[in-house]
Amino acid sequence: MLALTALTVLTLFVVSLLDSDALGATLDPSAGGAAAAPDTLEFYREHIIVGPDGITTVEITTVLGKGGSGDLLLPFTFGNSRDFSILSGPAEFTRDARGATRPVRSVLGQTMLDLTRVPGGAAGDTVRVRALLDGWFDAAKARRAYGESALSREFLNTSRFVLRSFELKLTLPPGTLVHSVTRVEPSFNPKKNPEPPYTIGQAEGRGFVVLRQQELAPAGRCGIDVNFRPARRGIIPLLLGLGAMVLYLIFFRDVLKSKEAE
Amino acid sequence: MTAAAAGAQAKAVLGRIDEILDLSKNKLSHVPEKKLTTSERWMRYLGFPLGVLVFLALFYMPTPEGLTTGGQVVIAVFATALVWWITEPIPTHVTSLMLMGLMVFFHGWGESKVLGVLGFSVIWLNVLAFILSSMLVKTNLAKRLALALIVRFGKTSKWILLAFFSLNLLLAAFIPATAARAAILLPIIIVVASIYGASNKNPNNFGRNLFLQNLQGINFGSSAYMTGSNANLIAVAFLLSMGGTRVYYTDWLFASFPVVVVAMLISWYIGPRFVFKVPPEQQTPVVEGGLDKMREKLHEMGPVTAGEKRAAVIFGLVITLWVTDKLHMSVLGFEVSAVMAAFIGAVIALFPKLGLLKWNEADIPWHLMLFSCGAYAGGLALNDTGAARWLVGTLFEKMHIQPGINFWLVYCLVIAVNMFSHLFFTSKTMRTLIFIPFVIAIAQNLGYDPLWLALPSAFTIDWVIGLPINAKPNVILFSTGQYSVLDNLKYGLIMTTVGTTLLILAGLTWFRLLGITPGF
Repeated sequence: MLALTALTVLTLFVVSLLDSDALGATLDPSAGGAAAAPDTLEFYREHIIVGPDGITTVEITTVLGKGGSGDLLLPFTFGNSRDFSILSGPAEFTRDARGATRPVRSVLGQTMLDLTRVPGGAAGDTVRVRALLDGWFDAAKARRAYGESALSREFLNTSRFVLRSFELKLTLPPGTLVHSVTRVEPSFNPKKNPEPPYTIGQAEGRGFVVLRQQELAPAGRCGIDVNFRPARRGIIPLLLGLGAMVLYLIFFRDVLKSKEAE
Repeated sequence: MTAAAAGAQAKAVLGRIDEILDLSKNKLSHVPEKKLTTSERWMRYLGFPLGVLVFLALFYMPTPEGLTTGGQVVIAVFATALVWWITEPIPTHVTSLMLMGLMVFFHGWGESKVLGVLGFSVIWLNVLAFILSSMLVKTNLAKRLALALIVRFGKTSKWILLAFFSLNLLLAAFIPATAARAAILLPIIIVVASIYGASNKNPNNFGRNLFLQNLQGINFGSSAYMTGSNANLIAVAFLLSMGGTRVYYTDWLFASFPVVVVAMLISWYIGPRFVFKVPPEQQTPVVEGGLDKMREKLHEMGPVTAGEKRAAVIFGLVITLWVTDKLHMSVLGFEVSAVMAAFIGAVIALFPKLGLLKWNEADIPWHLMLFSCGAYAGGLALNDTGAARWLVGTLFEKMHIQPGINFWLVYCLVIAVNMFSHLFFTSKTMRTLIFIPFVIAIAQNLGYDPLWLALPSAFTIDWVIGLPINAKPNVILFSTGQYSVLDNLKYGLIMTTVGTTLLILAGLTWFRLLGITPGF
């Protein structure tokens, strides 16, 4: 029975990687057949914090839902990573046959955060994991015109879980603020939904942007591209503005004379 | 006086009428020099440094929570441009060019987006409307229509003004595109203004009343009907999708039509008497012999010429396409938009042999197109960067509207904010997309039926009468040079206050009877 369940889960997962529509049809009970309700995570947040020295921290917070087996394979689509730690919650890194912990592993070519629920964990419990990312943000490559830099993140739900509520938060390097949001996926149409799916804010002298999605199915994706710049403005516009004011007041004094007087 | 002398005098009078009616001497593409009062000269002189100070203050202030730095740049540039548009230290079209340049150089909005505004349908519609208008002027059809209108209603200037308000109310029922209505009326208004002595070289108070009352009629006349503008329909759609309330055509008509009629009557009454007082010499046609000479002139024009008939057919085709826009899909299988209808008309008008106009005869005020581009670029950038949404959200947040607050206080605040906010927007659609969802959310948060606040708010959408940048017809009428930005602002603010008061009074009385606001 256990083997059958595992096989079903694996099949769902592979299908999810190949064709999200097909998966949707598979998971949809109304589509015929008696498919089981999908495993869910009530909340999932990926918080990426870009440090001053280019070292990036990622914090993953998830609120467990009902169902699901002991494993907790979560999306982790980053390259070089290190210093994994579980900050809180009823989960631990999966141990291999020799008993060594293994924070990430590759499943069908996708890097996954490899956690296991510990006994006693229940729906509604929060699990928080932190890791450091090497080379994820390259300040030189990110540089753009007008003193701005670009930051982009595309999240792909490579897990088998339906994420009931999803957040992607990007915290910018210290002393910088969001200049513009240049792309958001899924695209935002104010005529259909007046509220943009993202919010912009500031905390501790740095800007952040949070992208929210109501539900993200397996193989679902969303992303955001932002440009950011230093919060402090240069002095040149001030000098130019004051200079233009003085020059105007000097060279346009004749504006005060009436035409008849000339 | 001998018969010969009397005939010579009559001929001389008619000659002067011809001179007045010769619109080729008052080309819209020519930017006239304005005579300024002392206070206007000081405003001009101090307007430039004031604009710079506004820019520096907004640009260097700490970026507020929830706003992007790009949005902050756009707010700073747009506020500066508003100061310069009102005080006019530099021509309005140069201000627009500076706004576009500053947005690019400070990277508030992208260069391709800024430059792309010149290709927007609204700019095309303006250009095409001026081509069609030139055709009506060249063939004398505009002159004939204007003379007919004056002979019928022009005993005194006040009846002419009332006739235009009535015409606008009628046209709004059939033509939802406000720019199209402005294009239809523009040549007639110019001729009528000339007959009462107003031109771009010599603007007078009758002209100010005529042009600004038409601006009001075209704009808030749309508010009488649910189909009066696209923005009205968007508001209704929001009420259904977010508020769960369906508003029918007659609901809108019964509620808003009387408010609009009363507003028009008030404007008609106060305009020539108090806002821009029309002196007795401007209350009748300036032409010696008055109405009789006008009648004689109309008679002298003889039967409708072949050129006028062709112009009427071409313009009639365009108007037919504008009026029947809802039927296009079922009859033609595709929709001809307002701009493409004007496009068809303009191509026929300019087509050799078939048409009536040579390119050199088309009077297109390009300085005005640049002015429009700047205004639209600023407005779009405010929307695109999220700055407009942030401004509106912050405004409502600062008002501390909490549950338990008196409904009528909230009603008055919401109506006033919606009404006066038009000064900072260049598009009704954008304003609707931002404001109406906020109003519905406020109503839901306070436990009110969204209809109580959102429908009266929707009635304010078309009140875009404060500045030339606020709507397409405003730009078209401003091109005539018959009034200043300050004239527009003065009359606009007075009428916006009147509109706010009327909607508040209607909310307390008429709307309650109709079940739109909480009942008795």
